[in-house]
Amino acid sequence: MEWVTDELLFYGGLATVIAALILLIIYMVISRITFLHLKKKLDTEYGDAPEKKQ
Amino acid sequence: MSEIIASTYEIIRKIGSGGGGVVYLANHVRLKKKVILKADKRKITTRPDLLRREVDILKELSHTYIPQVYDYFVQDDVVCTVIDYIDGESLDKPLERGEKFSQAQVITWAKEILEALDYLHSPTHGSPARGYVHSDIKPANIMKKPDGHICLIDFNIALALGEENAVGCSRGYASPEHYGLDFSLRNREDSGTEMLSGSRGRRSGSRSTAASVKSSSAGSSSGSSGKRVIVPDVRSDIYSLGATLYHLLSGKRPNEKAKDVVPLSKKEFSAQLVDIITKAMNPNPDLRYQSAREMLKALKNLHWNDIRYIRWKRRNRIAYTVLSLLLVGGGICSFLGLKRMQTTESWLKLAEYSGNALREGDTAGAVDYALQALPEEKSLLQPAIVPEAQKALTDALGIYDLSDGYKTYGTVELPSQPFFMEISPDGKTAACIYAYSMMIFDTENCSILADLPVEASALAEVEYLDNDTVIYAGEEGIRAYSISAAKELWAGKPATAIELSADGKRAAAVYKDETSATVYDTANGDVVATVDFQGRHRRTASNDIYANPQNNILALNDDGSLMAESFSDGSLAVYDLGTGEEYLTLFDNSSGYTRFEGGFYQQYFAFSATNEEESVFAVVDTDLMEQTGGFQSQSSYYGVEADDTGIYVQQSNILVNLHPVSGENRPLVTCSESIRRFDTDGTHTLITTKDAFLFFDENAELMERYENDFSGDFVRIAGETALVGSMDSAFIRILKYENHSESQLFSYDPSCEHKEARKGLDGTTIMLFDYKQFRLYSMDGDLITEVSIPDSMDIYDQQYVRDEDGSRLEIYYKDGRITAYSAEDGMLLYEKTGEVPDMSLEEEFLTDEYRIVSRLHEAPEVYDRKSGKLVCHLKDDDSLTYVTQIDGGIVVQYVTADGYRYGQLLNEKCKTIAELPYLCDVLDGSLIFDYPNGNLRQSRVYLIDEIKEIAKSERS
Repeated sequence: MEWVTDELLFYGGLATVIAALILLIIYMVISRITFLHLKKKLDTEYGDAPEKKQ
Repeated sequence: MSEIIASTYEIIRKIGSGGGGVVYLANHVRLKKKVILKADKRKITTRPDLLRREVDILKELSHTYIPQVYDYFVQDDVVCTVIDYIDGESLDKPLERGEKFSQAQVITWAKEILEALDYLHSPTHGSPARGYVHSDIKPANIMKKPDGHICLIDFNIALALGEENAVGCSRGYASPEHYGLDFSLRNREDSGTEMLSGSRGRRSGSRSTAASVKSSSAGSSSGSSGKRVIVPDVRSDIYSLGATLYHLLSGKRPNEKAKDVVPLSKKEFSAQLVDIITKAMNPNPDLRYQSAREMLKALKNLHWNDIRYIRWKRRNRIAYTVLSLLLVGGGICSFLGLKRMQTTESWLKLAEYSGNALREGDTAGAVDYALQALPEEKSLLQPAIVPEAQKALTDALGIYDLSDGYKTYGTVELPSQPFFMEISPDGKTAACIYAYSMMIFDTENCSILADLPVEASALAEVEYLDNDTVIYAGEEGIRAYSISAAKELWAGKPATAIELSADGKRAAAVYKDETSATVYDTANGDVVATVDFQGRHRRTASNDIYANPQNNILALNDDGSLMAESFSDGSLAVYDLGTGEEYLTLFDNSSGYTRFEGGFYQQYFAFSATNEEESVFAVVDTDLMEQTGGFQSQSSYYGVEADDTGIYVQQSNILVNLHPVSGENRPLVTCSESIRRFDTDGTHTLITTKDAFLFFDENAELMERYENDFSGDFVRIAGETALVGSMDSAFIRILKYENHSESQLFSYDPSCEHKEARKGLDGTTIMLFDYKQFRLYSMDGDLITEVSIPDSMDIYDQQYVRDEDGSRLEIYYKDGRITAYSAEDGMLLYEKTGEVPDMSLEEEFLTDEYRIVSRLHEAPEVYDRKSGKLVCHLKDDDSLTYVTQIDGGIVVQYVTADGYRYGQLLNEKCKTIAELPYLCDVLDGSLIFDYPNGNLRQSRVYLIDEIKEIAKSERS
């Protein structure tokens, strides 16, 4: 594990954080869109849903 | 004409009729409001007061999806219930028309019905509180209002009353219990439990059927003579609702036999909904929803329990978990990396501070800084040891410097720059005059012993009478002070310049530019003589605040009988202190000399006189009153010191010890730079040049050189201590003589010229060699042989080889010849011809991990042997000569252009962790150093933990 230097830890960690944040944002957007589609479908099937699970 | 009933209700029309009675649409006469009149054709047997009470309770029922009961009355023994009129049509109508409803719509209605049922079923009505079962839920009893919502109608008051025959039994919608079937027993039969005959039961608003019910449009039952009473309850309503939903969705009424009901298709309808309806319609009431609330909850959670939503949630959970882990993990790694980088950065700074402190002479500070940069314990937040820190500590401790000589010991900081400095004869204390005090300090532990006020002049001086006593220019007169007693011994008249006789009995003092001198008995401070200068005075600066030019002579001979003094008019005279008269005039006032230096050695007075054009040096025998020697120069001045150890004369870059009569001189120093200041203890000599101070041994050989970034204006050497001070710095550097004879391996005549030294593999011989010759010694120091190497000009390279055949010196010639001499006896082993050597002067060294390539005029390159990648460059200032692999590191050896050989210890990553000055050989993990004074010394390689322990023990 000698190739794991402090600089690699720092910059690699930073890159991981940034990539994770970007992926998180992208996924949140996609997830929201998916959810809206799904909700529309479920509302069509089941009628309007309550805001949260009973 | 319309009929008025109970004087209140005007019958508009008959709406319908059924098993429960007739239903009319009526108009409340007074309120002008439409109402429903339901006349129950069944006879009421309940007492009127109880009847009243029950209806009152029903009137209190208030729910969005349940019509309001307004009133009741009895007419002709028929109970009529007045109920709110609900506009719209019952759901059986569109079903009859063949209409189907959307699943979403049915679910919405189901929720509304269940809310109504939940309200109805809740045991919160009346006193004692109880709930009510509808018992006849079917599409016909569900009104669809114009706004799309529903209303659950046909609530059976008779049922509320617990009347007989009050339970509705609509075929297909009625639960098995309505037919007297009970599928809840463990050993139930398919036909259900038989009913008891003639027995009645009453439960909160519901009533079991007692006997078979006639088959009608309202329902039928399969009754028989039973053995138990089964009472429909809330679960019966659940069943009926399920059946109603079944019909609304499929358009088909479910089979009246619960066990024969075909479940709805999951292809046509949502699986969840099918499961809900199927559960609601379970023949076993224990397996149905146990309450309207439960079923309502299931319907409300259809979205959240849908497999697609669950999958979406699971995907989300996994994704967010993974991303969160990445975020947190990345954050932790980043934090760790940053902390470690910051720690490394601070360690590098501390290593730099250590180097700076060492350069300034603060050894203790250098060790402290270096130790701070080397962690005690390992932790995740701490990076690996930085090689710079390890090197800093090694340098500070001088672990691999085994030469005898003066080593940096410490520093003392004065409050301001010094004017004058003296050292005790044993070198253990020193006195420094600064503005305007005198600090006496211990040179062993750098502690302050005394801080005494002095004459407010830069001309103030101090002299050591002995190791414990100083005589100095005190604030209000000359004073003698005992260091150990910390008290003044005696005091005298004001003085600045002070001089002592060699026997220590007399002290002469002159105050600034006064025209007389006072001579004291050093034992008690009595004035033994006063010398009148006849109006002449010493040369002093117009401003004596900042510096002492030290360009005057005030000297006493050995027994204090004669005193020499120089004057501002250029004259130089010797006085007889017995008479106070001028004994000898060396220069009169026409000399023109402006600078004088000198002193007494025995009866000889040695001095130099300098002006802008020339400098003269002379030695005068004061007994014979004649000059014994001297010389003159127009190009440089002579620095002269004389004391009881001898006469020392310095000119430019040479310092000699001069015989006062024969003029023979013994060189003390010869260097390449001009000497600024010097001092000698008779054995070792300390000089300062423009940017360094150097030590020379008794053979005038250079021992140590220290670079200086400030001028060395004050130098003193005594005992094993040397001091260097500057008018530009408040720090006084202390150096101590170190002897490392315990590491001695071999000693030889330092005049023997050689380039390299090697120890034989068997450890019995030492070979000193260069291209011209080699000398072979036994370890006892005996010379075994001395051999001149032929054709030395044609030599390409020499290698001292140690292998299984023993040790030998191999010589490679440019024409390809190779000769070898035994390192045991010096005999020629062989002479052979090989390939003409490659003159590209590229050398390659191999270790287990690295391949090091050294080319002329280029920095050696280190390559990883496995990957072939360039790892780093080594030092490029000097030539790489040898590379030796040792445990945990590599030793590289270099030679400078002027032949100085040294080494560096590298760690496993080829970073320098120690300097190895004068390294000549590496054998079996031991380092061998060859010092110019003819000593071969040996040391092992220290581990970092050992070095730290050494540092801590020295610090404590």
